[in-house]
Amino acid sequence: MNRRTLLKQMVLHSLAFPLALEAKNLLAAPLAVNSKRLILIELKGGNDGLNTVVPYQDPNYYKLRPNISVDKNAVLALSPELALHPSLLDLKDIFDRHELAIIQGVGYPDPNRSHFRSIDIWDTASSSHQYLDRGWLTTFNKEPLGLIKGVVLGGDYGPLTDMPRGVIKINNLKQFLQQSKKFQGQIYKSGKNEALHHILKTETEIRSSAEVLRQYISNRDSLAFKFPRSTFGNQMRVVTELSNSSVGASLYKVSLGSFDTHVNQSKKHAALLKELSQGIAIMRKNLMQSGQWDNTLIMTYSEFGRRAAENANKGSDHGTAAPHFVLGGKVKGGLYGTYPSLSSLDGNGDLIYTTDFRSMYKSVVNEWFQVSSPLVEQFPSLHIL
Amino acid sequence: MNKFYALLLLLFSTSVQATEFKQCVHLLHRASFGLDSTHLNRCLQQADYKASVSDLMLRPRNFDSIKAPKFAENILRKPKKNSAQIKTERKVYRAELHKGRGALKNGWFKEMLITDDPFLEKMVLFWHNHFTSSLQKVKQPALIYQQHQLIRKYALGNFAELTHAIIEDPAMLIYLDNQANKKSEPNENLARELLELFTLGEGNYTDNDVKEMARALTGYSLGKNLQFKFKKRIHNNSQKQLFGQKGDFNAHDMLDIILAQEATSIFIVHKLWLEFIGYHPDAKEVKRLAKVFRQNHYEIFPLMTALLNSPFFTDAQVRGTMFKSPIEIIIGTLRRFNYLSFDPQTGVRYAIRLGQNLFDPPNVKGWPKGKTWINANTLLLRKTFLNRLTREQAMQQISNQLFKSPAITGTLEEQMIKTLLPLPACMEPATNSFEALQDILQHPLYQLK
Repeated sequence: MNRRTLLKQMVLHSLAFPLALEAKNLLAAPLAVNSKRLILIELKGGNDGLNTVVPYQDPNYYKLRPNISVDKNAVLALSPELALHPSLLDLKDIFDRHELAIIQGVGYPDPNRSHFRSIDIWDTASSSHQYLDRGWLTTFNKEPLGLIKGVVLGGDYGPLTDMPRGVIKINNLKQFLQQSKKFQGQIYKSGKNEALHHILKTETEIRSSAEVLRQYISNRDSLAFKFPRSTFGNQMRVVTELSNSSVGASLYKVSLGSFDTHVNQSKKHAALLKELSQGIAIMRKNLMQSGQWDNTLIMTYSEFGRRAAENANKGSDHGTAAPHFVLGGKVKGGLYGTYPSLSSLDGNGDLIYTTDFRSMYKSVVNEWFQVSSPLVEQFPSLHIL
Repeated sequence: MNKFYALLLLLFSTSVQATEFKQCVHLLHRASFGLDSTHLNRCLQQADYKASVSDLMLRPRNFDSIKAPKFAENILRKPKKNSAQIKTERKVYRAELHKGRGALKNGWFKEMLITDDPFLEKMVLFWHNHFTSSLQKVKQPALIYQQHQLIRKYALGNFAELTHAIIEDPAMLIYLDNQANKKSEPNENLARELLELFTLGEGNYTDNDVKEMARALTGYSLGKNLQFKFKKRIHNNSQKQLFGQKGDFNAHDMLDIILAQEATSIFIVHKLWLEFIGYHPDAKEVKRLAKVFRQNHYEIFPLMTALLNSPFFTDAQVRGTMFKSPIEIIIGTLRRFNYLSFDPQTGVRYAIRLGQNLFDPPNVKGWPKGKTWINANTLLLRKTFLNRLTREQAMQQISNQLFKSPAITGTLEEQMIKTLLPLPACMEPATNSFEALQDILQHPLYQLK
């Protein structure tokens, strides 16, 4: 059997149709530039909410944290009761412009204090005793448009786990493109072999995604406002560039950490919050310039907050509820929810949550993307958009 | 008449030979880590398929002589909170934990890489994914090692004995919180997973059964040395009932009742089917194999013999339709090229990036498997790994890997295709054999078994 003849014949098979569709999608991509996007910032390790949004007038706060409480004179007041950590100067500015919604006391019933279990709960929007397999972003009733639907730049797939197609995870964009060059592939027949079909489909996905990304790389303009050359800075830069490009993905995930500050918290935490605040501010400036800020929603999340009382090592241990930030051009800025009480803690000495995290997700699903997901329906809406 | 017999003999011999080779490819892909020269030759030398299965499964096994590695000898003590040198002690403790963890994972990887008993290793992987525990939660490398040795001992032994032993295994008790299971405050975690994931499977028991089992398991705990200790004081010794039987049952008695249910044998067979045959278990055949399992008093060896000889396993349609797991593709490729000096730590790290962290499954259900192994990211990483591997010095002596056997004919390239891919494939001719090798490893079929 002449291999070349066989190869030519193999072109006429099931993959021919999906390829045609993808060519169509590539043409459709420019239309997707102005569609809405969500940028998730995972604060890996459990961000200390008490020192992020500080109850600076509450005497309990200083009693619980004689060593690690934030300096009362340095905080950035948001209200008579609450203030931001001084590192978050840029976020204070965005708050003053009414584009930052601070959701207080975000958590869930029966909180789990294990990193792995709790982040699973947040990623899958499950209840504390439920084990779900798929990321919550994959449970919408309508699939996002476009060839590349989601891009993960930091951490694992998390909320995008098991999206059937269209999600790429790039630790290093250049490397991804280099490696995918080897896929200028041959075409094979899969017949009834479902496993082979899945492999071939995935190969096609890699090739097409790489092609789209290569176009973005060759056409990208450098951003007016530069990001610092750090891991987080690079992630934020790529997301910003992709947001300005015709790649058209609507879901992005980046990761900053580690916030797991068990020992000598103050300096570390201050530095991380500064990175977060500055990174967001630079992203906002760039997106405002390109007209994409109104199409953007940024949301932070973390596996848990930290305990109300400090520990013996000038740090804090795994806790429960914490505040989170949701911001964007269309967000109705302000303080949402109720600050968890420092005088009535739970049996473990931890904060009792006041906003279920699925309410926060609901804003993304219903209010932002205007789709639905069974995982968020029964929770109260926050109306932040 | 002579002509007739001659023809028959010819037909018989050629058909047996042809079946043997393809069946060896399939058998070794599923029940081993793919082909390696030793095992392929052994397989081909047997009288028939049944004998090949037997040869692969039967090995001298002696588990008593295994000496625990240094890291596994002792329980690591957490530094006391009021200790004066808490900072240094904590540092040391964490370093020891880290070392122990590394040694465990690298050790298991190495074992699979160099083993003469690949079928046992496949069974060990299976049972670890069945009776799951994780290093993350259990923390002590010594306890995970202890559980690993337990699983290894019974992987081709008796399932009933294994299950009885696992409910007293320290790592399991910690993993499923049974130390917190007391008469005054029952914790149902172990009981629930025991019924749902380890024996009966969903739909074959009630919530009440879980409660009864949890009561029976109260007091199955650990002493100060983190070894099994039955704590009488917190044990609920009231009457228990399960599946119509009532009595003074302890956890082992309850387990016997569970094992006596047909549903248990069916559940385990079903799982093994998904592991070795793939999709669409045939209800009738599963029942038949479950019967074999029970008739042999839950001995795993006769069950696996029956399964690997089942027409559903040997069916040609089944070949090349399952995904290789990260460990299978990494270990399998290294073994195929006899690259036994490959750094285990690198292998462990690749497997983690591909989604299979040895001794650390994502949750009690184990690694999700099947299609979930393959997405744009992991497929790209697999291919990159294979590409890098082929460029390594040790891999370049492919001519030495030629199997000298009359069963494998054709050019070097054709031989490579036959011994590397689970199914026949046509490929673009390459300029040289090295390029051919690279192309074959990049072929989508190489991801399958």
